[in-house]
Amino acid sequence: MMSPSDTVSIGSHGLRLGTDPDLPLLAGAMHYFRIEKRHWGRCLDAVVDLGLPLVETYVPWSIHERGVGRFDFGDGPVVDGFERDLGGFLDACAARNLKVILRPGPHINAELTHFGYPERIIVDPKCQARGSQGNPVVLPVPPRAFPVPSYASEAFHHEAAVWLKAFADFVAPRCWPAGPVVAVQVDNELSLFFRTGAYDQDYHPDAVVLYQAFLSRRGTDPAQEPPRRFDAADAGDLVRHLDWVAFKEWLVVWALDRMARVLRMCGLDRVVLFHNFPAQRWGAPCSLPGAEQVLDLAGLDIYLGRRDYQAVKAHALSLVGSSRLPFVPELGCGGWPWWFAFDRADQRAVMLNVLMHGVRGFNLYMVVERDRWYGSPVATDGQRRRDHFAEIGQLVAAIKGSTEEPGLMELERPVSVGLMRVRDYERLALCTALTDPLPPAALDLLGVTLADVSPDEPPEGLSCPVARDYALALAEASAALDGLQVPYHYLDSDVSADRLSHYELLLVPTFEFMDEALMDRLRTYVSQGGRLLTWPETPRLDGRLQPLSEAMVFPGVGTGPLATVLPEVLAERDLLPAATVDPADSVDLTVWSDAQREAQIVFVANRGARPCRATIRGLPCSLRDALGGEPVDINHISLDAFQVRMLRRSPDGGRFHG
Amino acid sequence: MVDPRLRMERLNPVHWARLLDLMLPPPGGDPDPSQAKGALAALLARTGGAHASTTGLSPEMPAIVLHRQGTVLRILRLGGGTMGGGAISGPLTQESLRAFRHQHQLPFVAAVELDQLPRLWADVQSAVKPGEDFVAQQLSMLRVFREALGKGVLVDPRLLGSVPIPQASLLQMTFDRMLPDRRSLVFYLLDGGTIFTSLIVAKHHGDVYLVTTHDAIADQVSGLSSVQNARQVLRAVSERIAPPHIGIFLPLRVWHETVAGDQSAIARAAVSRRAVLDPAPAWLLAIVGAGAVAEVATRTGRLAGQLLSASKLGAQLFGSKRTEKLVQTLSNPLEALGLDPWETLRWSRDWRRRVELDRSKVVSPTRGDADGS
Repeated sequence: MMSPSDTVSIGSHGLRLGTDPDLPLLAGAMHYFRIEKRHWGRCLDAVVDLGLPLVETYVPWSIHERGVGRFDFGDGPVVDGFERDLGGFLDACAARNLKVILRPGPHINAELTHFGYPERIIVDPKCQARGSQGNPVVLPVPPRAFPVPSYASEAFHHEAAVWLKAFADFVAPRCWPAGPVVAVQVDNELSLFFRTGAYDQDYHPDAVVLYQAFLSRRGTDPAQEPPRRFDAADAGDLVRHLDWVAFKEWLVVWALDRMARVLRMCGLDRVVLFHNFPAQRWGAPCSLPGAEQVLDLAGLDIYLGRRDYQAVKAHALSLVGSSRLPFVPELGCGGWPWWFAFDRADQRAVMLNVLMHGVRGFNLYMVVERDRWYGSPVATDGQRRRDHFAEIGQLVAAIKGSTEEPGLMELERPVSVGLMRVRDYERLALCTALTDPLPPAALDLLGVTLADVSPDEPPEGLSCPVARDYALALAEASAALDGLQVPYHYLDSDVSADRLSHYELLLVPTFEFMDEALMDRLRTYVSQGGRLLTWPETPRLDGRLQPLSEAMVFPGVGTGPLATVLPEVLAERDLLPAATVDPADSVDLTVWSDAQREAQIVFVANRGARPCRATIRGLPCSLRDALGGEPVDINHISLDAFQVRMLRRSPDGGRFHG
Repeated sequence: MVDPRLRMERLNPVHWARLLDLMLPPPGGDPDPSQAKGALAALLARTGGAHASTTGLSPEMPAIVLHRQGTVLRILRLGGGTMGGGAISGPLTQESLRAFRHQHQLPFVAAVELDQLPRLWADVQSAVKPGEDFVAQQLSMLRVFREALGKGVLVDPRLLGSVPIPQASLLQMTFDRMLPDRRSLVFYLLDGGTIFTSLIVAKHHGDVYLVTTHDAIADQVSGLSSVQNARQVLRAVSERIAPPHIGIFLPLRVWHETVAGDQSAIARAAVSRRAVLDPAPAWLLAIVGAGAVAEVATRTGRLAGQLLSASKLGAQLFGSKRTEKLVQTLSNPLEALGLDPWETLRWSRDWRRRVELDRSKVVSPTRGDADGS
């Protein structure tokens, strides 16, 4: 029987190993299978010297499988350039007191051909996902485009289970406390391979069966075929489309759960199981809270540059608002050759950005360079790229603090305002997106937003263009909060009532329909003293687009224009910030305080494309740059375009309260 | 053409970024070809003219027009924001699309018929054969897309429509001729006595199996201050990777002149020993050689190549052995594809510049988005 003393769990500041203090969730990625074994030691020494307590690696199915049902974890010869001695690698980590995160997939990407699936899987029609026209769903990635598997396919799950069992059988004896493995990721970026357009996929026969069972559980006619394009003719029809998108979210969680159960049944029930979704601003197929119903933790992978400041900020605020421990399982450190070329300034800015806004853990992907990757601080032979290595080491040290200075993870930033992203409206937006079936992730990368692709006309069954107006409402709210410099988090509408109670003020865009379960949670929130601000409409329909019964009292307080009401409500609740920064229209400020509510670390960020000078008000103290150490004049803080600076209270400076 | 086990290693991030941006003009704009001076320049100007630079592209972002049966629903701007559907007057046609593009000085615009989009999307994917070479896969998808031009998809300018899409087998033959198996290509650009960027590619069994940079030989040759020291690089590559079949060592300015359309730039630089082409197969010398001789040879070869590329029947009519023989006899292998290398360069440059996203514009607020940016 497991006891807390020999399990790994999620703490408030990192991973909790038994009853030990939290281990900071700071990791660096190294792919043992791509690095010559004779260099492992040197590479791992470099990870240690960077100050990272964890190392992360994929464990590729396609590399360890020697034949159907036969796996090689290091016994066989190295004939194809790939190392397989996973046990030897784990021993090398343990010898250096490095804890290990393993990611066995079955999907791993890692720029491997076929993303780490054995070729026999991707060419098996029984395993292949299907598009709306019955076509295979192809990822056109180098060095070989391939059809992706269906995560509804029984055949696929059977094959994946064989692999996951073999992996778990090998790794279980090496889990903490007996070994260094503390966390395992279930699959990888399970977002339908970035193909999240409502009607892009998955129409595999097994998916249709699952869909019909899903409908049955919802009390809807299960004989329906899934819609293949948006053609809702009335409210009932519209519900059918919303159900399809909701089903795909459910499918992702179901698949994660299925794979997690295999791992747990095979001995990986003492370590943290988590997942990583790719960050995208809209069209994401699953919520973080949804995944955390079946896993210990869910995070977002971030591969963006400094010019994507707003997007990075939004992803960080979503993580903090909606997950158990805001974690970035892949924080870009370098890049793959056929992607945007991000440089060290991008890496630094993005890292500071996510930390500034509340992320509590990250995995620098990749700390050790490898085939089909460049820009890491450690080369494949363990050589340290001097300047880059020093910079990363300095950043990690600044985050961790010292005996004289608290680490960032020990500090808190009080945030009392939550801005809700309502899943029902996001589903509607996905259904009605003019660009379907084109992937939202690709459009997002090209700067095309949700509002850009939402129709101006309301769909049949509704009286206003909810999808478009929802996107505009969210933008309005975040702009208003940013303008007032009020800290906030994005909350997924799937979060629990208990989670909502952490916020004094909730801003929830509402339109003519709303899910009753969400209404119940909001009602509970209000009854517990929370202040709820809803706009621009009051729902008159439930989530099935049926009229609300008279007993359903909507808890929201109608409001006038948000820009007018919001400052009043914030003032009323004393939620306006004490410390502010000028110019407010282009600079962000976050203040991190200790248990005595004394501010210790301050972040200042230039959101814009032009250099500027910022002035901090309401913080009478002296600051120094946390990385360079030089004193900083709070009346003249120089910021390059999109630069984020981390500042610490000077030891000789005055005290200030955040 | 691309080995599924392709290795891409020792890529320096700064140099790799520069390599990806080589088609873009330098910060001050393209070099002015009229600045070429001297008697040699005058001679070359009479025998091989420089094309006008097309860097005068609009700073506006490309646009995508979404329509249903000619009724415009939305015009998206890549980078964020929209233009009203009324920006295009009347039903959508190739002419109205062109007029719209000129009116708003857009570098590129595509119009997509939304009712045909799901079918097109499915057809593009269905064209892919999983085990096939990556380039062949892309060509298959491109063919489907090009067949949709004028039906579900309109583009302006019609850059894609005017370029032949060769059969993969012909492309392979051409590639094999340009870079034989067990050989490498070495490409260095120098700027101010340092390496601006580099590329080393090795090929075997018909496929590129290695892509790397000068970092792969840095322990033997650290840096390259002058093209005159190219032999050291070539020796190191030969020992460590594969004997070079093509060695191109240019000053950065010469590259920019070439990309801007100055067909004589490399030849002039080679003559004046500012550039090194060593080794240089005959076809490379033919491409970079200025003058009428090259012009005549390429015109003849291009005609044959266009016949080969124009249809599937083309290659069959000639037969694979005959095709191979024809490819071998052409002075410039690219002609087998019906492509003039300089036109191809200009086309590549134009495309690259048209679809270049200024990512600071992605951040700038337009109608506003869900992040409040």
